[in-house]
Amino acid sequence: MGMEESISLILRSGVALSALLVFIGIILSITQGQAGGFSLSQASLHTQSNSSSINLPGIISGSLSLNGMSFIFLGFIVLIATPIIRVAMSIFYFVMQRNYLYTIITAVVLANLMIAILVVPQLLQGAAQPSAQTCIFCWSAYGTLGSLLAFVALFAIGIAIILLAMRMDKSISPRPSKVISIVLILLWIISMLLVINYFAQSFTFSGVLAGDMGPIFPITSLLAICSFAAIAYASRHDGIPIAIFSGIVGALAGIMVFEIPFMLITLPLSGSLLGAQGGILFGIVMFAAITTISMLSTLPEISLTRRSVYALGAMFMIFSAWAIEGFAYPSTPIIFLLNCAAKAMGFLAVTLMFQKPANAPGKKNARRR
Amino acid sequence: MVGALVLVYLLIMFAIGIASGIVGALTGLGGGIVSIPILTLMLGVPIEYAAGASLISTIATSSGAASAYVKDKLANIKIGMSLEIATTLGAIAGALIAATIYEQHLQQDIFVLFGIVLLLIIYPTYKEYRKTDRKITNKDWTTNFFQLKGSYFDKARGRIVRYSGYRWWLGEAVMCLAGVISGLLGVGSGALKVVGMDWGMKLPIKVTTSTSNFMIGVTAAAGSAVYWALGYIDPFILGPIVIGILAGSYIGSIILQKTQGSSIRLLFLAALVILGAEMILKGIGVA
Repeated sequence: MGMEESISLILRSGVALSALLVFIGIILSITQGQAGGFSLSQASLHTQSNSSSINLPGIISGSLSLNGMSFIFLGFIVLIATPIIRVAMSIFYFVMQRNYLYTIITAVVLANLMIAILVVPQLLQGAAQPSAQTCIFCWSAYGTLGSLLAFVALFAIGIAIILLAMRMDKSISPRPSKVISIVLILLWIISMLLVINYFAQSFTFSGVLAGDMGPIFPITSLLAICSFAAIAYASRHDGIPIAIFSGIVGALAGIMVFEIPFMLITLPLSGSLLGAQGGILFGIVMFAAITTISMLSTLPEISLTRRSVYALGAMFMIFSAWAIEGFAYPSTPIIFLLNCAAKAMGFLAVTLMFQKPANAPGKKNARRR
Repeated sequence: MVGALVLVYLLIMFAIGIASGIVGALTGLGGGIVSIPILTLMLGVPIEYAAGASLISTIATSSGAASAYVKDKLANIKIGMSLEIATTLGAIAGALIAATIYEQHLQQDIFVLFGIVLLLIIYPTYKEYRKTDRKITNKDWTTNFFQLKGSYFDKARGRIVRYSGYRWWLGEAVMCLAGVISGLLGVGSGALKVVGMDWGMKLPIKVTTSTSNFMIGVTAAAGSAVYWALGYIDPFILGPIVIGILAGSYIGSIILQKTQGSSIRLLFLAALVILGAEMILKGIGVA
């Protein structure tokens, strides 16, 4: 099926499904003899049927109990999602056509839609009631449309990365020049000093042991140690100092591969990150993340393999599952597991960069598809 | 008893939807721009709720119509997508401006603005019907860079027409304005999008109208998310109206095919002048 046909099909089926849901909702409302408890021209924010006070779990449970209003809302959500899914689908087609300019343009359009749906409502609500969050690493969950569309976006990114991995002909081994390597190392050292300085001011050692860094911190540490060991072992032929250095940079990069998308997704959710102090933290961590991941390119055993890109795609797929739960703070077992799984995929993506495929030894990596 | 009242209420909303859909399709302006004056002037629905309702129903009509255009390859997906960058950003800005205006209880300003916009777009819409496709040869660096080319099969002439557009930046600027108006007033602002592509980028009118329809859904989705968060989406106003506008647009498109002359369209455009004037009068507190 070509691009035009599938886009046309998405548009038509979206409108038909939405009209059907709204129609069922209206029929149910008539048989139940109620219209949200108000009549003509009485629409206001005080009626129970206004969209700001409704949430996705409520709509779904309402639909299951045959509530007319919930069906109508469900129809609206399908309607709003239709053009967005159409934009997300176009990204795949432009990737397949190797039209990179339009891949980027479409991604920008999708990003704009995400801003409209995820960021702006949070800002509006944030302006209405300033949050009294004290915990730096806490964040709230996305609302109805927010979680639905975060899911669509993250799922699309995940699929796009997996598609990219499928089309990868050979591993990519970056080899930066001496000058660039030295600049990268210097920038990385600066960013690490900034991070250490910040965390030394904000946390005490006993506080970290008592759980100030959040419930995931022990898991992160464990994964980082495993990743360090695997990378150091893979780099053992380059001498012990380089092996240990590779392990440290790799383990840190494993954290950062998770942290960059994570921070961007939760940016509108975290009350503390939007303030001036939070902005500094965000800036420092982003700087450290970018320099650490760039540092990978200076390591001797590194190569971006197909398996590594698959792991990255898997991380985004787990993110999208997490988004269904509103990308909420890991306070329930399911969300905790999703958070850990996504972290593990981030580490796996970096660790796999150090493991050359068995059938393609050395730099001559001429794998045929 | 309560059930009967609800039924009457829903039927009235449904009827308004059908009427707006028919007029919207016949004039080529879309259902939203007709339903907002009817809801606010005749039924006294607050304008922010009428705008929210219109914005969501715009997604429905545009998606329904666009599916046919996309399949016939009349709508240019690339050109549409590249311009949607500006329309979505504009729509977010427009919806935020609207949110501020409503917060300050300056609803009257929206009435006046709506009336002015309605009157202003009637002329280009009227002119559009007199246009025939011209030979397009304009090119500049954006033509190649943004791949502003395409072809479609012209049924009337029975041959494939190749075209190219230029002045992408001008199109983008007009689209940004179209987005702001869409978010601010809750309309699809398809007429302005047509102006941007037709006058700005010199694309053929058939491509322009169908690509505009294709873009409206995305613009309206961006704007309606903000209206949703503010709580201006009401299921019992909007539900029957969406169904009505969908049905009305369908009926309108059939009428369009049956009647060749533009006399009916002119009649309805004249009626819209009255609605536009009434909106302004209501806004300044005369009517």
